[in-house]
Amino acid sequence: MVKTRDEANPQNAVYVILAGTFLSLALLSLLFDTPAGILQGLERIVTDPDYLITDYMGVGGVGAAFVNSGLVSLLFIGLLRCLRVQATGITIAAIWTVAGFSFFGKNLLNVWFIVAGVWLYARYRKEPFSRFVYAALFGTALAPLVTQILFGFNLPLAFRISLAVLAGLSIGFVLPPLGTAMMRFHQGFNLYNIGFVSGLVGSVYLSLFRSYGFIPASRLIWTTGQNKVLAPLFILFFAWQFLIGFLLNGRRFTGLSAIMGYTGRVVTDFLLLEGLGPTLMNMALGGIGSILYILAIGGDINGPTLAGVFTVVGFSAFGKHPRNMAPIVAGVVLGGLTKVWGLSDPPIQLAALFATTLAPVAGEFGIFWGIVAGFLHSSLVLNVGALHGGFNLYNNGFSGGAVAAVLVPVIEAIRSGRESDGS
Amino acid sequence: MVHEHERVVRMVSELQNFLFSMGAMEIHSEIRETPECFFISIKGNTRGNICRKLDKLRKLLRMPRQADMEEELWLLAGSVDYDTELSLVGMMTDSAEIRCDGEAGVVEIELLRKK
Repeated sequence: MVKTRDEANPQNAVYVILAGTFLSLALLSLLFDTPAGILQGLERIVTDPDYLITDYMGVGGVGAAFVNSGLVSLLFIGLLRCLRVQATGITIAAIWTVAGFSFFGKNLLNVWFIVAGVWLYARYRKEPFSRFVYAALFGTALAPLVTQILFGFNLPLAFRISLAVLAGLSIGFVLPPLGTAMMRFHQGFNLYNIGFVSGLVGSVYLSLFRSYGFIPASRLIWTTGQNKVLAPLFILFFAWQFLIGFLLNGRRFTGLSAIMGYTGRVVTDFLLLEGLGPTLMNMALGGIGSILYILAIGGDINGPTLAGVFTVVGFSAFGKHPRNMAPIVAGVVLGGLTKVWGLSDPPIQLAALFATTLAPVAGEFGIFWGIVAGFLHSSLVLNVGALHGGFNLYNNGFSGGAVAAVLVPVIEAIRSGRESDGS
Repeated sequence: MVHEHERVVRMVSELQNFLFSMGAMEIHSEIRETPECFFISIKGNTRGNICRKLDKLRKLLRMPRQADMEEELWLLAGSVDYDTELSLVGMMTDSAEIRCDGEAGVVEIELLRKK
């Protein structure tokens, strides 16, 4: 059986749907602001420090945040098309993740330095850039570090530019080999692998900064009061996506139940395994479920939580589904009932959404271990941010990698002990 | 592509894990390298007729070659005895053939990986 590139995967349809989605997002900005207001907002988004937690809706306004997210995503979709990258589940995950984090931390300026670093690495290895392009997309998690150097340091402009270029290029250069190596650390049970890598790299850079006297101030720009507009808007957005998936699937739900049967551990590519229609429906369910969760706990629909929602949606093409996410979220909720914080505290709202990076733990080992993973994650994620000073936007990926690395060998040991006992 | 030999070894390991999980008691592996490609052949003798259980394997090995994904993920292949890396093996190969003789209890898997 010789395989062809397009055997299982309607390439154009995937890219058209992605481009249409994020073009719509950019155009929706006009519901919230005038073009002039959006431009002014974009300028503030690009020049303000944007390490965790910086809500671009609070920095530049809702309209500018929508345009930033839409345009950054469209530019990356264009990049993938230019490189002739075959669309798969991870393509969808990468684009939606970039789109989400373009509501809090990634912008039209700061992402390119790291992308260029990955490109340099590909040149150094004499291999096509396309082989490392996902490390480039996900690696933009450290983009706030570039912004901080460019606009947050009190140094001569030429020095700041040189230092930002050097930092961005060097981060991009080291990410691909680290991404490969660190996958073994958590054995594919943490879906945000580059988040874990970025946490390590960010910690190294922040240590260097601290050695020269830079101590990042804690930051929380978190907008509230937009649930009545944003929640129905995005529920409609995802309902529309579900409908497209349903129609593409021949007006059937076939494939959706098959998706719920996968463990979700890397590599579980729903687009390649079950096709575009069921994948779109699963993504939509993830999006609607996430929005309803935030509303149910009295949280806020804003830039950071939309990043969480979009990441759930994206990775619902590459490992997540309601069945393996629910126990993880239940673990975070259990933490909310027993620990010193509340479920509607901003970092915990984010933790519940992003903790689903550990969905494969629930998928592989069952509901109980999924709850344990979510419970542990909700504590760990509040402590690891100090290591990288909030410069790694995928703080939950960093924490999730550590939880998976600690938990999975223990679960395996307990399981194999039971098997050898014959129980 | 660096670590080419290690990648092939991990693919073989993944398939050996699979055959063990299917109850194979005897496994023979063969790798042949040419300047253009690798041929991998794995044969397992099982204790019963497992031909009906191979549908999932066929589905996963039918994955199109994905050089873009392979770069970050290949180290997962052959690392533990979960079966989800079979799709990764599929993404690392250009063609795959599976033969099963139920009566004799023999499964043969042949893969081709271009360099």
